[in-house]
Amino acid sequence: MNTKNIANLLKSYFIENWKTDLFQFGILAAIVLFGTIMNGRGGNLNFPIMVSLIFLMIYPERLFRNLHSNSPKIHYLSIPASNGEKVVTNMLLANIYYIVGLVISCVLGLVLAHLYLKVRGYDGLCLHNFMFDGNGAGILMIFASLAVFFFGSIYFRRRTTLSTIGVGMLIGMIFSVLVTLTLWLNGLTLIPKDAAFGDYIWSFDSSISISDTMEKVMMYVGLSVSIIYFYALSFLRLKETEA
Amino acid sequence: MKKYTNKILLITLIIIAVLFVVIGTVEIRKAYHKGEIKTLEEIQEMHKDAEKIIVYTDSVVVVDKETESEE
Repeated sequence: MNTKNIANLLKSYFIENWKTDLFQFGILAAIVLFGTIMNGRGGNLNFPIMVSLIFLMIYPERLFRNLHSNSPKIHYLSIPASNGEKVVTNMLLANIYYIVGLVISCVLGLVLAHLYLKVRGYDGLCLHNFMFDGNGAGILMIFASLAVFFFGSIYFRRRTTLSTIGVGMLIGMIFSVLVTLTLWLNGLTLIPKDAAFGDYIWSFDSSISISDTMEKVMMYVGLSVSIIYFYALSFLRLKETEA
Repeated sequence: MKKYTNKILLITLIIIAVLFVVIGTVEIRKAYHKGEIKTLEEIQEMHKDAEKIIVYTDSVVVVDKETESEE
């Protein structure tokens, strides 16, 4: 892994994309500005976070857009840098640069909304509503989703974001079938059929859950492992594409 | 170079699915032994005097002769 190559890749990215990025950050700031003003002074962070997340999940598609058509693909793969360096560069861009850009755009939008309301004679935004108190698992979940979209943008050839969402939904459907299967294997059913309800039913205070600490540990470990897993798989897929 | 990504994805999905069913089964069994899940017969036994027992997906409504209580 040569840091000089990574620096060169970053440099070439910024030369090619700074205008597009600036435009996107400007659009986000404008959306947050108008959305917050229309939402009212008592708004909260949900709106800017939702819009930023949509921007963030679409971003990997743009990072690997050269892989999605033949001639730019050959050009991209023949850039004098290893596949590992290319993946690391794009990881840095998606996980640090773009997130920092999104946060700055949101803050800018909120500050402008606050100033606008002040100028119009209102009290301005209730800033205590905008204090971020997100938990670690939530933040880790965002990074894990980003890793999935990152992998999807290398794995699929067209409309990578939509394809990733589609496959995610399909896997979700498979797991809902598994839930029914697990319940059925244990004599439980979720479909009420009057007397012929099944051998067992959910009790009044049914709350089957593992202990909170265990759940948290599993959540943190699972999310961290999935992040590493999807980036490793991205590297492998890029290597396969080259071959 | 052989293409491994699809195989790795498929194997991972299968492992997660099997773990999901196994862990789910263990948790349901544990809940059943703790008494968090009851059979229909057990509920009928608990409310012998009830006029009617209506079973929904996540709750049971016991209709007494005089009052109606939801549990």
